[in-house]
Amino acid sequence: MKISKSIWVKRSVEDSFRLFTDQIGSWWPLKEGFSYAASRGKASGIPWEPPSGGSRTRPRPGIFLEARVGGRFYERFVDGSEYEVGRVIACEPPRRFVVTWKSPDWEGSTELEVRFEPERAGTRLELEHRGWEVGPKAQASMKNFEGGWVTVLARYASAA
Amino acid sequence: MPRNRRSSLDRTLAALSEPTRRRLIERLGGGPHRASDAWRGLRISRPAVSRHLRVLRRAGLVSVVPRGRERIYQLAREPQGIAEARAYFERVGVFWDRALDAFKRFAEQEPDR
Repeated sequence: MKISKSIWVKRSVEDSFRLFTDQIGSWWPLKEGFSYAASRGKASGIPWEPPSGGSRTRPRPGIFLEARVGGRFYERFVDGSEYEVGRVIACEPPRRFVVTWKSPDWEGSTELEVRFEPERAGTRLELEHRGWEVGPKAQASMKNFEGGWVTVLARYASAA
Repeated sequence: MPRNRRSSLDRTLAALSEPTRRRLIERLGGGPHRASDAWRGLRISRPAVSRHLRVLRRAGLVSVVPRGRERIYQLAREPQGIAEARAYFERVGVFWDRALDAFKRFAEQEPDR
């Protein structure tokens, strides 16, 4: 059981890998509900800001992915507490990484692999999120991660 | 669940769960229609169209304005149910599609280093 997604980005493979991992906090849509804050009863973090904008006294909230084998993938909430989503289990910059992923209510961890390949003066990013058979709660989440809802709402919204 | 207990999200999703009603919505997306035009080409009876329009109106998706002896149907402005439905779909529907879109937008506007 796996989800496969693919997207082309007009950036080099090196840049794409770096932006996806080191700078995940800059683009990950935490504010739009892509956060574990609500399920942990916490306030969601602000998006990652360059050091000049950050607080010196308390670690910045946000989402973090340490791009090395054994590196942590975690969200830090406004109160400084953290939720560890998973650990990096393979890392071959700038071509691929694999990280485990467990939402709080899942029976075990899934695996996310992201590969970066050069294509047309940019990068083809191939994403595979697998291992959903760890349990029924994880499987129930799979369709939410997969997407594929009808687009009638979007069509309606653009017509309205 | 009794009708009056249903949220606008419930009513919206129920209203949009029927193909003919989606066609009506799409048709009204092209502009306001007289009731007498709204069903043209849909191969269903006028009473059936009236019923569908009523469901859409009760869900707050369609509004009706009288013009002379005609009733003009149009898409409602900023329906509450649509705002809720969009937020709902965004929350649950398209996790990786949206995350990757966010990444692409960010990556392509971030200056080179």
